[in-house]
Amino acid sequence: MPHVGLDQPPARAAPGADGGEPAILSVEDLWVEYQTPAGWMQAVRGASLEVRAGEAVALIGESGSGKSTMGFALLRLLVRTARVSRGRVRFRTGEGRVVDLLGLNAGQLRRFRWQECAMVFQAAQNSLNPVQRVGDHFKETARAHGRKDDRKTRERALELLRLVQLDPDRVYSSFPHELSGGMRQRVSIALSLLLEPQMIILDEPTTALDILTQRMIIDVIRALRQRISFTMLFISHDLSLAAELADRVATMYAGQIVEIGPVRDVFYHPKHPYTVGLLNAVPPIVGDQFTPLTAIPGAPPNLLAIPPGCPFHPRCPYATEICTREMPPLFQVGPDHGAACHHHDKVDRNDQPAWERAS
Amino acid sequence: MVQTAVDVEHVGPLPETSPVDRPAPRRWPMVRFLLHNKVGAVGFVILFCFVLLAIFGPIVTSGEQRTDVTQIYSSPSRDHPLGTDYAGHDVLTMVVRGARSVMVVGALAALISTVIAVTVGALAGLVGGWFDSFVLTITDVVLTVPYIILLGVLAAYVRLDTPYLLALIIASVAWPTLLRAVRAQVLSLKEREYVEAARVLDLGTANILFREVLPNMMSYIVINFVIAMTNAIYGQLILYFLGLVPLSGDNWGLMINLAYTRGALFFKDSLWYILSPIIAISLLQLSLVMITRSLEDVFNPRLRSG
Amino acid sequence: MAVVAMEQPVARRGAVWRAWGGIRSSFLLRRLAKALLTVFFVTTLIFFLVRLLPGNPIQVYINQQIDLYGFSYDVAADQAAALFAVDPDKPLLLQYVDFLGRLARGDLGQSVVSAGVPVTDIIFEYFWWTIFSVGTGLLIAFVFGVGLGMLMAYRRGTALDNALSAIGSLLHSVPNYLFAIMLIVFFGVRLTWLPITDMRGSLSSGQQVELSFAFVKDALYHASLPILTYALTGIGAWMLLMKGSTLAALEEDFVTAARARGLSEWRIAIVYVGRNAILPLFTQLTIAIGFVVGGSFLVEPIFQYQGIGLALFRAVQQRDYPLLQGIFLLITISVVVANLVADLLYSRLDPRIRAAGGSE
Repeated sequence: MPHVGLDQPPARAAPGADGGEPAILSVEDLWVEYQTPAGWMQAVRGASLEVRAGEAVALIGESGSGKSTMGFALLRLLVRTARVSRGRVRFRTGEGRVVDLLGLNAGQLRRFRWQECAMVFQAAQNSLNPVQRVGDHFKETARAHGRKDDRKTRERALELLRLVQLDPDRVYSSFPHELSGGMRQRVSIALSLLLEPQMIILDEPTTALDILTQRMIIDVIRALRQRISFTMLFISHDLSLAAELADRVATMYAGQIVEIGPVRDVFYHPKHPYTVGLLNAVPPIVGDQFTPLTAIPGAPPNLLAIPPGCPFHPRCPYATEICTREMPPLFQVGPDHGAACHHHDKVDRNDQPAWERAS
Repeated sequence: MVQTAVDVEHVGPLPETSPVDRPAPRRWPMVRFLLHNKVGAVGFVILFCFVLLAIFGPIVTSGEQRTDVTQIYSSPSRDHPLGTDYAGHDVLTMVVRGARSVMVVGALAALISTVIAVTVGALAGLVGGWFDSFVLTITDVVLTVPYIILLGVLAAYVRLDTPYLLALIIASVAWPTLLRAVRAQVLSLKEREYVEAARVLDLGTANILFREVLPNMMSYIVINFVIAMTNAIYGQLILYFLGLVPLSGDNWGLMINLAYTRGALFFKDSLWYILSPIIAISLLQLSLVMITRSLEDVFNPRLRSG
Repeated sequence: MAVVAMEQPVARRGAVWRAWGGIRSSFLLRRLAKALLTVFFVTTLIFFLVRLLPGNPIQVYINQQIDLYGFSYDVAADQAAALFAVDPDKPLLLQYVDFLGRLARGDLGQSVVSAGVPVTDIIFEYFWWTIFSVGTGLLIAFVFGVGLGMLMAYRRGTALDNALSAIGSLLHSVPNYLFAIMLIVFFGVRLTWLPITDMRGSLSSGQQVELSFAFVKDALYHASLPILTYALTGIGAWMLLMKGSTLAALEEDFVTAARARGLSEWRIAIVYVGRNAILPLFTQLTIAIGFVVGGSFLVEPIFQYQGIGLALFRAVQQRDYPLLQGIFLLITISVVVANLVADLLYSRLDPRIRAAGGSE
């Protein structure tokens, strides 16, 4: 049984949280480290995040930003060489109790997984057992969570497969190797909805798929949300995905969340230099202006030797002395919009000269 | 157990070797190898001792041994450090003299089978097509028959008077495994650019074979040769055990066979008579295996087991 | 919103035109063809081997019969024909056809040493003991090897793993016949733990072959040393193979995905890790079968176990060619059949192979 929650007030993850919907997931000051031959490497450094009921949050960052690590840490799926060294992760279950995810024992954790929170893995990976049929995956998952009625499971599975636009009967009795990558990804999505979880985490759902299949997956997810409206956290390096699917966006750099807010606010009025850099690096497909592309100067930090102060300062056109000393907290730059930058008021998306100066 | 060309701990194909791709070793790769690799060095030393034994043994302990019936199966003593056999012969002398035969036959058999396997296997891999399928099918068919049984049966039809015939019979059973390994290696090398270039330039198959492909597989071939020698030594033992080899001369296999058939197993004192050839063989095999492993290590660092 | 046309999974049992293509590249059928080819090769080899001998044993036998018993050439030739299952007078090709014909009828000739006894009779007497001991040994080695291998992988790096790895490597490097000899020498003679003289042979004298507990007990008693030898010399390889394979399977994404779905570790270990890890081992099973059958050739004589290996051993020593050939053929056929069964098992277990039209 999930232990009856310490019904504390939700953590102040985002300053000025509008408090309208209750938070399903609440991450506070999470630190995750990996053991390497050169010492412990901090992959996630004090990240805080809140996901509210019914919303879709995008976690965007480059490789090495710690985004996937964070996603895996939430379900405690980290590899053996990694561990959570600090922080709190709390989850509101379907019954309304708040549980401390990091404190669950093995049995509680197994019951929690998939029932409360499910995960869809990267499209490139083979998340399905090659020696089992698709239908068997559904059946065993249901049984593992106490639903012994195979007929009902089958019905529900067929319904879900239909929802993700697959031919239900044929796919249900297929083996994974008989399906294409896009089909397997849709099966994973259907599987994730099997137990009606509170939240679904999607890790790079469209990476490594060709562009047409990507489009299809995005459409499928959007259609699903319209029909079932589940809570979603998805992780990607692809900012345009956030534009398509997210209600709120968080950008992550060097293991920290550097900006978070409603998607329109972040896209049109980014207040962290890194976000600006990300936006400028992607050409707009539509638009009358020809905005020159700029790459973010410099290179991602060596996670074993992160400079003091703001981790982005070596590459930042707005950096000053304080940036090399003090780690900026998340300043509130708008209603429900936060940015971790000392100079957030100066940050402007269209400020080309600043970027040119920096390169 | 017969050691296969692919080590059991590595499930999957061997990665390619290519000394060409890395800077040529400065000098005396053997010396470099010995210095860096203790296991191989020990193996080499042991092997060297055996080679010395093989060359000088029979010379040093020359002459027929006297049959001394009063000394049958005696325990180790000052006169006979390893005891005596069923006819009072000194065991130590027999061990010393047996090295030559074992090693000559082993090396010869390994040589013959390696040559066959390398030429045909490499050719098949390189040329491909129906020739390759043909060779592969024949190899598979021969491989299906249990090695030991094929060896025994074939040997029954031949009089094994000379070590050369012995080596030939052993080689004729040993080539399939080697061939498959060589062919697999060639197939992977075939994809390399210099082979592609040679083919485009139409340099002729034999040319490509001997000047491009084989030199780059040298390390692999050497390793397989050593393994083949290991197997050939076991093969000898089996043939002696079967009583298919005339009972004259000195050979450790013969010692084991005689020990077994003369019931040395059942005498408490004759332990060394049986054990010494077994230990000698095991030691020789061990040195060969050690050399193999360190050769693998040096030429294929990726194969180093965790 | 536009609905993308539904993709279909790959057709599994397709139409007839697909079936033909499927047969040609079918895994099993190819194996079957190779099996038949192997048997054919061995029979041909047998046929020609005898002729290779400088002193053609058939001629030798005929002359011997003429000298010893004063038979006429025809009578002697007839006897030789019966013995060797060939007729030495006809042209080579006809002899060959004749030979094949006799084989098909089950006539393998008669033993030279035990004069007049049909080879098939002799084989029949010895064959089952070998199947019993070799099969049991192989089964034990495989089952325990796989189990231990998985255990080692799950407990990687612990003292248990290191110990088992060392033991496995050690067992793997000892040749089976040496192991057998060691068993006798150390445990039988020196330490007299085992009543080895008692354990000789496959049955105690006086014990009847019947379906009784006493029979089974006695058979097991006598077979225990050979079985022990096969099992212990074989287990090392399976342990190490399975350990490697399991370690690889544990890294797979679908294992993490299964954990994410809240499945129990037991289920994951068996259905996700185990079933995937064991697949590569089946390709080794065919090699292992050939190997352990070959091993009986040496192990049985050491223990005086009355199996086909011992029979072949004696036949080789005595140059009893018809018997030798018959056993050789039989062993090849058994190995081929066993390999087919192993391949069949493999194709059932791996759905990727199972599909018609699936090639290796």
